[in-house]
Amino acid sequence: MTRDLLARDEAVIAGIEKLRFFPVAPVGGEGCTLIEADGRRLLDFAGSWGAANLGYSHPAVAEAVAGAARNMAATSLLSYASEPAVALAEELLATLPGDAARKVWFGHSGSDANDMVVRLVEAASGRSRFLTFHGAYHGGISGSMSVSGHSSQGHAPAREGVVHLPYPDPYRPHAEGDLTAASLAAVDALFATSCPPGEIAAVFIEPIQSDGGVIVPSAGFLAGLAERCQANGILVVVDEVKVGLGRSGLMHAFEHEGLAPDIVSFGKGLGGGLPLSAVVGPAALMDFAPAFSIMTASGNPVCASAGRAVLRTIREDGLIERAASLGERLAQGFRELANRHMLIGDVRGRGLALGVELVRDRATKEPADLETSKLVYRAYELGLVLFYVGMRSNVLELTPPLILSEAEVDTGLEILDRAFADVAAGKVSDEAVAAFAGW
Amino acid sequence: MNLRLRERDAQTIAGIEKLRFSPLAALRGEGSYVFDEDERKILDLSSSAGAASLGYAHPRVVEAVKSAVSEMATASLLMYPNEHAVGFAEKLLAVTPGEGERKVWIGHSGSDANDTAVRAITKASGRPRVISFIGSYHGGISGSMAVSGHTSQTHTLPRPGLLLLPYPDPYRGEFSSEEVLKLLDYQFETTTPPDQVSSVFIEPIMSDGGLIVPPEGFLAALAERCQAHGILVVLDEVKVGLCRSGLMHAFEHEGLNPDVVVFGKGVGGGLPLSAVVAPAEVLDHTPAFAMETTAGNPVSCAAGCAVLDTMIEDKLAENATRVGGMLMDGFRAMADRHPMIGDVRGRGLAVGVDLVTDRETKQPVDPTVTAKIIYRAYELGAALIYVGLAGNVLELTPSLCLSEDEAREGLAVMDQAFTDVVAGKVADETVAEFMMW
Repeated sequence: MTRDLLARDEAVIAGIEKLRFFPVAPVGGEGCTLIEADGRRLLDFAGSWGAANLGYSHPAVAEAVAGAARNMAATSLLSYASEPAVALAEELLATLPGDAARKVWFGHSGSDANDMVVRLVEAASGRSRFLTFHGAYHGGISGSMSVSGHSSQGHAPAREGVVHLPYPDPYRPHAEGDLTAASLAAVDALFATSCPPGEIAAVFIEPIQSDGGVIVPSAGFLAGLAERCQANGILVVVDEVKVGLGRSGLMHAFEHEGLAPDIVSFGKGLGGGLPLSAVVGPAALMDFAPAFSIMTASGNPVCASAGRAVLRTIREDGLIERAASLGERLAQGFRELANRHMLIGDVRGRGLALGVELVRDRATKEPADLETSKLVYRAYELGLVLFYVGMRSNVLELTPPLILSEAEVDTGLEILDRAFADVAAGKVSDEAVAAFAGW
Repeated sequence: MNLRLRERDAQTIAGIEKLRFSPLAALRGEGSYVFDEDERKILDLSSSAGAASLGYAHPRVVEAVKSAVSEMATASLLMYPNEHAVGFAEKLLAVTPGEGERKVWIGHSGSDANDTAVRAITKASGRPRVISFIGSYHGGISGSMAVSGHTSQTHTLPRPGLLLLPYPDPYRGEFSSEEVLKLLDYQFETTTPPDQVSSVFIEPIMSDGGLIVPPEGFLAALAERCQAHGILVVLDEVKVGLCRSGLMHAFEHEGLNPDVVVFGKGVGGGLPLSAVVAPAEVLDHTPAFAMETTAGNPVSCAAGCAVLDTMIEDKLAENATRVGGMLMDGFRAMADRHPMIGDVRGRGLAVGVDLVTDRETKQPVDPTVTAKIIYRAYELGAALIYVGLAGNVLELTPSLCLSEDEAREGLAVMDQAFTDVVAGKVADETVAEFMMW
C-alpha cells in the first residue's frame, strides 16, 4: 500500500462510524503516547474515549491477551463455561459493595450492555416506561439509543414510554434556587401525574453525564432520585461505562453519590482496549430466561483475560488514588489557565474524568463551539490528543489513561496553554476544522 | 477456591446469556479440541457456534493478536484510522463481489452488525419496511432481533413494518418456493408497497432456524423481485460465510448479487469482530451514526486479517467441501442404522441432521431426544449444539481446519451416541437443564 492511511481509510471505512476531529492516523501506541507514521509522538488525553484506561500496549494487557490467545479456552461463554470469564466475573463482583446475590453478563460494548438491560428489565418487570436524561448517552445501537437523550442521536427516536429528565447542571441550572430540591420536586410531580411510578421499569443514570458535557450533578440529586425510584420498585441502573473502574478517583463513580444501584453496566476501559462490557445485576433477574441475550463471542477468553489484567493493574498499581491526585493536578492546571484564557468558562469533573466548558462570554455563557473544535485541532498540531463532548459541542473532555504521569499532566497543560493562545490569535482557520464534523 | 469451574460459572454468570447443551467447562483449547477441567479432550464439532473458524489457538491468529496488542495503535476506529482496521476492510472488500463504491462498517458481533445495517439502510433509503423470514436469526440485541423471526425470540417484538415470509424448506415442504414468491407478490400488490421496503434480510442457509438449504433458484428469484423495486438485498453471512459453505461466501451458491453483506462470528477467529459491506451512500450518509468505542480496534482487526489470509492461503473452502462432504456422507450412511435420522443437509462444513420420529410423517423428535444425543456425545468426547424451530436439528459447524481423521472421530462418537440414546443410557432429568431453546 503506497497511499497513506488516511486516504485508504477515506476509501473503505464507513462514514457512519466516524467521529473525527483532526487528521490523525496513529501507527502505534505505548503508554499515554500515540505514534504517527513520521515518528511524531502525541500525548493522549482522551485514551480512545477512555477505552485505553491503561494506555496503549500495557505489558499486563499484552501478556494476558497473548497468553489467552495461545490457550483459547473456547471462544464463547454461551455454549461452555470458560475459566477466564468466570474468574473475571468473580473479580468484578468483588469490587462492588453490597452482599446481595448477583450475577454477571458479558458483552462487547457499553452499547450492547445497555441494550440488554433495557430489554431485560422490561421483560422481567412487565413495566414499559423508563426514566433517562436529556444529554444521556448509553450507546450506539438500537436499544441503548432508545433510552439515550443525546443531541447526536436525533436520528434515533426514543422508545415509547421514555421520559427525559433534565440532568441538574450546576453551571447551567435549569431551575431557580436550590437545583437539587427543584429537580427532585419535578420528579415527584411527574410521579404524581403523567408517569405513574408503578409503570416505570428502570431509571438509567450516568453518575457523571459524560457525552452530555462531563456534568457532575448537583449534590444529593442522584441519591434523592434513587431513593424515590427504589421506593417504587423502579430499578436503578448506573452506567459506569465511561467514568467507572477507578477513573473518578473511586472504584465506581456511583460511590461519590451514595447510591446502591440495582444494576451496573461497564464497558470501554474494562477491556483495556479490547471489546468487553459487563452488566452486574440481581441473580434472579440475570437468570430471567435462558438464551435471552446472547452474542457468540461474549465472554471469550482473550477479552476476559484482558479485563482481568485491567482490574488487577488498577488495584496493584494504586491507579484509583493516582486518578484522584492527578485529576486534581490537571483540574488545578486548567483553573490556572483560566486566568489567562477567557474561553474557559468552567472546569469540572472527578479524578481523571474532567470537562472544560468553553464560552465566548463568561457572563452570558454563550457556548464557544467553533472555538472548541479549533482548540482540539490546534492541540493536535501541537502534539496533544483530546476531543470534545456536550450537547452544544463546547466541552473539552479529558479521560486520559489512568497511568498518566505528573510530567505528562504538565506537558499537556503547556500544550493547551499555547493552543488556547493560538486559537485566540486566529491561527486555526474555519476551513481547517470544517472537514471534521465532530459531533 | 475449591469449587469446580462449572459450579463457579453457575454462581456468577448470568443465565440469560447461556445456551448450554452440556456441562462442558473449558480450561483451554487447541485446534479442533477443547480441554475441560479434568484435561479431558473434547472434539468441538460446533467450534463455539462457528466463532472459532480456524479452531482454537491457531498460530496465525495468536501471532496477529500478540503483535497488535504489543504495538496498539489506539483502541478505536471512531476518531482515527488504524492500519489493521483499514487493512481488514480492504481485504474484506477484495474478497466480496459487488459493484459501485462500497464501504465497510466494523463492529463486534453479527448482532450489532445487523442492528446497524437495519438502521443505516432504513435511514438512507427513507423506506421503513423490512422483509425477513420466519425462522431467521439475525442476532441477540434489539435491532437485530427486531428483524428476526426465531421462536427463541418471541419475547421481543418485531419492528413495525416487518414482513416475515416463510422460508421454503425442501425437506418438509410446507411452503414451496413458488408459494412464498406468490405470497411476496401478493404483499407487494396489497399491503406492503415495495417502494416502502428498504431491504430484505436473507440467510443463504437458514442456520438457527434448522440448517435449511433453500430450494435451488428461490433466493435468486426473491432477490430479483426485490432489486427490481430498489429493495436492498442483505445477505447475513454471519454463521455460514467465509469458506464454511465450501465457497468464500454462501450466497455464491445461489447466483445472486447482494447489495449488502454482513459478517460476524468466524471472521474474528474467536475475537469479537463483525462487519457490514454496503454501498457508500448507505454507510456514509451521516457521520457518528453507528458507533461503539472499540469498534475497529487493532487487536480484533489484526485477528480478522489473519483469518482472511489463512482461509485463502490454506484453501479452507476446499477443505470445507471435502471434509464437510465426508461428514454428510457419514451421517447418511449412519441413517441406515439409526431411523431417527430423517434428513442430512448442508453445504461444506455447515451440516444439519434433522431428527424425526417417523420418516414418513417427518414428525420432529421431541427436543429432549436431541438434547440427549448431544449430551451423550459430550460424554463420549464431542461437542455440538441443536437448532431448528422444533429443536430437532443437530448442527455441526466445526473448525474449517477440521481434518478427515477428526471428522471420522466425530462420526464414530455420533454413531455411538445415537445407539446409546436409543438404548436409554441418558435420562430425561439429565438433560432437563440443557434444553434452552
